[in-house]
Amino acid sequence: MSARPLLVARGLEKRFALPRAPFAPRRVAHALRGVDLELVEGECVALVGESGSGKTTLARTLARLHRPEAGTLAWSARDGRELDLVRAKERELAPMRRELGVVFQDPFASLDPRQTVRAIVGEALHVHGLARGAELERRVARMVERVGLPHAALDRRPHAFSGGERQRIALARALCTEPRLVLLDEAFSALDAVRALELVQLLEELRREQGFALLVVVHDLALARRLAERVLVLYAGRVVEEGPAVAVLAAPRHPYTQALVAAATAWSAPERERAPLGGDPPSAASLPAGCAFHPRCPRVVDSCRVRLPALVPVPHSDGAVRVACPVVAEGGRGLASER
Amino acid sequence: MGAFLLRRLLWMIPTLVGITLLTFLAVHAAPGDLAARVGDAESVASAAGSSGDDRELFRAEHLLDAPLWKQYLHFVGPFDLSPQGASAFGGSGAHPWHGVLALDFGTEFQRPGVPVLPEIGARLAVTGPLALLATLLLFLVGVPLGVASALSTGGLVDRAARGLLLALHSVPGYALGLALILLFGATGWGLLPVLGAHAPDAEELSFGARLLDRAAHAVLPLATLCLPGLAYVARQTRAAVLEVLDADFVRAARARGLAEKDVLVRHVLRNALLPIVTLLASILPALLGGSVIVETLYGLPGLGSYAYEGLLARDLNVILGVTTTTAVATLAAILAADVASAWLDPRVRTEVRGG
Repeated sequence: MSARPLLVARGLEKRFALPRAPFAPRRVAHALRGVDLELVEGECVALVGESGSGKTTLARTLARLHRPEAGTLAWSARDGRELDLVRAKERELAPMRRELGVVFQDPFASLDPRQTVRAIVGEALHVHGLARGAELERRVARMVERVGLPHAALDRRPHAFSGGERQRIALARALCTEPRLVLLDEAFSALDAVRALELVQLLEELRREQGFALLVVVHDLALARRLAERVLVLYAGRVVEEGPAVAVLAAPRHPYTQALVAAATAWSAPERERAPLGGDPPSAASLPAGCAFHPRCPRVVDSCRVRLPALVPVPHSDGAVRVACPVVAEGGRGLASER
Repeated sequence: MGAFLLRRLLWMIPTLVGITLLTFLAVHAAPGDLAARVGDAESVASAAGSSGDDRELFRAEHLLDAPLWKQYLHFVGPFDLSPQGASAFGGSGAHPWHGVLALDFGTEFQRPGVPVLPEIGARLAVTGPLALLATLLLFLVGVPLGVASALSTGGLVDRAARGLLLALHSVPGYALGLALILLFGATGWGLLPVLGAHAPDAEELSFGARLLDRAAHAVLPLATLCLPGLAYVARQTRAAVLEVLDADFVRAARARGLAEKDVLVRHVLRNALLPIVTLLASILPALLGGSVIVETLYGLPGLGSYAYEGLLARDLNVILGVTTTTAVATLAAILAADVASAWLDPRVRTEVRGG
């Protein structure tokens, strides 16, 4: 596997204007606040964090469904050329669009109810002129069968399928063009455990066959650990911890990641030492000064309320972990040694 | 589809019975004598002065002294239950058939001897084209306006369109009609005729000039009929388009690299316009109701002004005739909209075609 970066993001910022009453001051939600991300060909990266932490916005911005206000976003096309995704006009994005597949969370909203499965899966091939006529037909049929649907499914419309089957259709649609990057935004969370597991297994098989890179937005940390080689933990539009999935999820360093992991295992470990993470994530429209996590942080110190912490490497036995917390970075043995 | 249609058609029967029965009872429940004005009309017409006898005759002819159930059955038909009616029901046998089922709404109260049904036909020839043209205009203008508004959400087009439509929506139809008359009629710029369906000397004009004359007379009534509804259609369209624009399948289409034009045509509009078709069902009755105001304002001899005249004269046969006609037209519009949306809905369509 070559370690060539496929997608490189530096200092991504995304703001949304909020609706306001007439004559009221403009209000802005800071959804992404300087996110760096490097995605290497063939690797799988998971984005985790609470709802509202900016995971979905980041995924959509990387897919250039949003245009970032600041930062750079570069895609290296198959022919080796760099594509500046921030400045490129929509039609100049075609080399990236052709090699990008997306699967969304809600299988009932992500398929056009008026299209047949054949049209849904084949549309991208047609749009990018990758195949036509009998060849297109053959590739669509093969893809639909590959995701485990009968040949007869081709002429049906989405309403004829269950949630799990629809998600397979969405996966077939994403993979039909043999993309180099596939983006899954909570693609499993609308499914029951059995369907979700089936889909994960199918995804892993297809990934072995096609070798695409994968960016998954997940709530389920166990799933992130199974699928991903690397994990990014987001809080209030910033990466607070980043590193190999094994390291970050087994021995989290940032207080937020620790709380997230503790919450995820709370059912199986009823006698936890630490109290659950109190409070709510801050509103992206009015973020606290300094580290956005400080009002909820059990290890808060004075400087947290003023200074925005940078992502810095911290020593970790399982690889290169970076954490945005001065307390962890400087004195950081306290919590880690408890485990 | 056949069974669906049949079931819907059968359901129209109790609906129609309900509507006519309610109207019938409402007119009877209002205080006063339905025959009270017969004497006046008669005395003007014949100057005979024997109003008492006439009134008795009138009451007998229209069964006004009979029990209500008998009067209603007389209205429904198909047998004439009056003294001149079917012999099987004790009549003389002169007019055996009567009522809705015999396609006979009886004669007017206000103008004795004038049958209601042909009059309704003549009035529909004025109101029908007006309502159809108004519907067409509503969709041809309202839908593109709503789409444009949705596509520029928060932008200049959107804000301008929404402001204008809100203003139009807030003005009652009669006030708008009066304003238009004052502005465009002889009292204002004198641009357009404001009275009647055509010029008094229309018969003498050439075919082309007559067409132009009819069109000029239709402009203001159409505007009065359409403008308030335009806001409704445009807002519904805007909401429908906005909803689809935010759907994940649209996002997925963009992520796949479809050109924005294709995203709009193939995915957004095809899905958003489906609910708009069903609007048809609620627009036609509104237009027929609106025609009462419009036709009264502009002096058009249509169905709306006929209903208005009938109500003023407490002319039971006219009221019932117009109500029944309007109800049938409304139910037909609802049925047509249901069939259309069922046909356009991919879920139903697969079922119907068995594919």
